[in-house]
Amino acid sequence: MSSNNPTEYVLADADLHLVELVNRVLDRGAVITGEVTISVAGVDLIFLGLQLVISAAESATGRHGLMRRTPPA
Amino acid sequence: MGIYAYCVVPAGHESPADLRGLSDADVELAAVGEIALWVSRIAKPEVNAEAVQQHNAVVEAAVTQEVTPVPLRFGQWMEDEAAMVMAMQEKAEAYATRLHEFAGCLEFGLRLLDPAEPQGARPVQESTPASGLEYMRSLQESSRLADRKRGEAEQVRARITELLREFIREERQEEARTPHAFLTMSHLVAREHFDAYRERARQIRELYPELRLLLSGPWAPYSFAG
Repeated sequence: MSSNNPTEYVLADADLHLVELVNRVLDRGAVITGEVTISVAGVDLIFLGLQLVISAAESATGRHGLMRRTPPA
Repeated sequence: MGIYAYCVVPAGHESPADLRGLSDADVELAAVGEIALWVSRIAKPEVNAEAVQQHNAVVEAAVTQEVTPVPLRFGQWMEDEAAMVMAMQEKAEAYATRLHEFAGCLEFGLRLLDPAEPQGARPVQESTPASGLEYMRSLQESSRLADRKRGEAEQVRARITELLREFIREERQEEARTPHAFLTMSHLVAREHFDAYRERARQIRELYPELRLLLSGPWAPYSFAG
């Protein structure tokens, strides 16, 4: 199988780590208070994590928009 | 001001004196019979990347060679400490069992992504069907593709589980919730098997060159705590 997408969204290893971390801390773990902070209703939290990463990166670099690069032909 | 809990630990498992939690607060030990909580006395926290990382940093500080905490989900905050202790007492026996099962283990995550675009029917949400019949056909085709993908994912999961069986204590599989998510698994692995597990995961990557395999960890066992 090969992708027909001409561009590829790329995250550094540190960003992937943060995404996996967010997914665990916000969507897993034991609940003892009977309520959760965030209701995610079927939304994969890896995308919420991505938004946190993107927001952090935008703040750090002053640039906005999704990080992307075009892979070599 | 209320009380915020990070993780469940064995009774007497003190937090390091210099450990700071959310809002730069002290992390204290709150005893609940045979188990305890690591907690901070703070106002209800906001959710942001820094707070999430700080929560996990406290959970990971509880990990030793002999102790693996039961991680709590972010946001376990209550105004009333007595109410939180009462809530814990109801589950104390179950948490004590989990602490025993987690001792000496940590979690690894395996995520297989399918970079290929979905083939066949247009996504129902993006289509503008000319008729109700076209809409129903689109739904039917999407359902058929989803069923096929689930079947393929189950075959891959079974094979991966067999290849890793000798290294894993428990396994959790997460339902794929995005188009490119092929398979998401979490494994509870004992420390003595960490290197062998990683090596076997790298070999699994070579078995499925059309998929992208992401290996993460070791983590505190969030996926097995709920």
